[in-house]
Amino acid sequence: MKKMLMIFCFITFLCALSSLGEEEFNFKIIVHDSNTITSLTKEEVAKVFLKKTKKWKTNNEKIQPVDLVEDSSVRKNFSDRVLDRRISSVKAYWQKQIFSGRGVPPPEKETDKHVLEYVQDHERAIGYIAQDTETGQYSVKIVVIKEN
Amino acid sequence: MPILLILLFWPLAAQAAFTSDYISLHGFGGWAYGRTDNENRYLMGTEDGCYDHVYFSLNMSANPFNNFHLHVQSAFNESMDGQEVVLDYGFADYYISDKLSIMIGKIKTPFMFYNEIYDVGTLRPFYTLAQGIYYKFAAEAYQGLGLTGTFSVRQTWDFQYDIYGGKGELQPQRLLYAHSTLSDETAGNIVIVDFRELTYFGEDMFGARLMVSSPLCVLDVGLSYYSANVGYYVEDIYIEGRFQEKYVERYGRHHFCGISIAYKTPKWTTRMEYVGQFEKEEGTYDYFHTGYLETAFTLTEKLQCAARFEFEDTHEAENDSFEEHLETAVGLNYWLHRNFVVKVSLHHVQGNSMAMPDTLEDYITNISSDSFDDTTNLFVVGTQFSF
Repeated sequence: MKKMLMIFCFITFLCALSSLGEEEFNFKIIVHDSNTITSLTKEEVAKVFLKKTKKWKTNNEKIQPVDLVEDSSVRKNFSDRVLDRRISSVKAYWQKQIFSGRGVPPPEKETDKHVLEYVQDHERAIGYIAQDTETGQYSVKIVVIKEN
Repeated sequence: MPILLILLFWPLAAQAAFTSDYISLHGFGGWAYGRTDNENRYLMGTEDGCYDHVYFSLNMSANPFNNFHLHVQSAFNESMDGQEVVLDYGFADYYISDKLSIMIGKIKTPFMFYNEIYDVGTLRPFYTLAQGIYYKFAAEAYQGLGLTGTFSVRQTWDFQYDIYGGKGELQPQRLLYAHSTLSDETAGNIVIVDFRELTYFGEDMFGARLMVSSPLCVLDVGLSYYSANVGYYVEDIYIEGRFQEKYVERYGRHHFCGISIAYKTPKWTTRMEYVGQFEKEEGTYDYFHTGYLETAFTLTEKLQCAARFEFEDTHEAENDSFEEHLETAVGLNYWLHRNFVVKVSLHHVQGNSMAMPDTLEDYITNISSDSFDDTTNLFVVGTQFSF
């Protein structure tokens, strides 16, 4: 009995270890398909969407992030997992930026379709959409969020 | 008030029309009623109650071409002292890199946590800011040049710096001012005593601020400093027997240093700020200081309670109570939306450094009998919004 319990605990531990490296995102990051970027770290994505990083390193062009509206569950997950902040904190951050004259927030789009259209129409844009949203008919590509 | 109703029902789609890739429009404002329990006036409160405090600011940012931004914010203010329309700031901003941008124009002074967002009530728990720092010591804006930028350490600790110089605008002060008319050889000099608004300025001003944010934005720490040759001017006044459209008086160089600390969780926010002022007069340094500790707790999704303790020590007035300002405030806020809040607060003030008689008659009566009421209680109810 003791041996079985130890084996069970060991297997459970291995399973837990294997899941540590996996982020559970319900979204995927997209850019224009002419963008040469293929992967970004979570911190790099966060800096882009908080406009702490304003230029693409590859071509020094201005980055144009685009958000979903604040009542989107995809945005909530993105805000929690990538920005490490609740949406209300992000909104407060942008209020400070706006009224101190330091910047304005990314535009907000109602649906994944609007985000896809925005990224397709702006070569320097970056956005996020639901994990299961089809992108085939749009000129966009998926960017992998990698570990540091 | 109609503006508040419009904003409550203004659909998001319509708001989007005011934002494009190149121009964005935002604003904020508020209204409050204040009442004190004695002859003293403090903040927007008087003994009879005052409904007159209302303000609205319009903010516009434009990005006409790459790397170049324009920012303008104007304010419309109405209070018991009258109405005014002012330019909060107007400046051009040229981006060189994430670590360096250049700003030129009239810019809000980057000092402590709140100076740049002085009147944005949806970003703080109380209707007004701690007065010791933000009314007495802070420079509202400067006209000149500033450098700013951000950088990270280990991708998670964020640093933002500001360095700036120019001419500063400090907060105007409403004080009792004695001045004399033209002298009449038969009647002698006549001295006029009345409440005047003194407009303070800071010449040859320079300063800096460093803000540090920890991972997960739980802890923010800031160090602020500015220095200027401080002076003030009064308009349309008799001084030393002759009428002057603008009388200017200059003091020496003043130095202001401060530290800011904030700890934030989803339910709790606690802030502490402290500022010291140094000035050299006749070979010796004088030191004044002020600070506050403020905390706010979210009870439910819409209800928030807050408390603040503040002190100020100027030790420059002859009357002890005019050297002192100790304030304890408690408040309750109802957030109909994160951009629209109703606030109620009670302020208990010890000292007359900022809570002083509202009318000249009360002031002179109290001077002659040395009977200033050094304890003032203020009730404030108001609304603030932003978009």
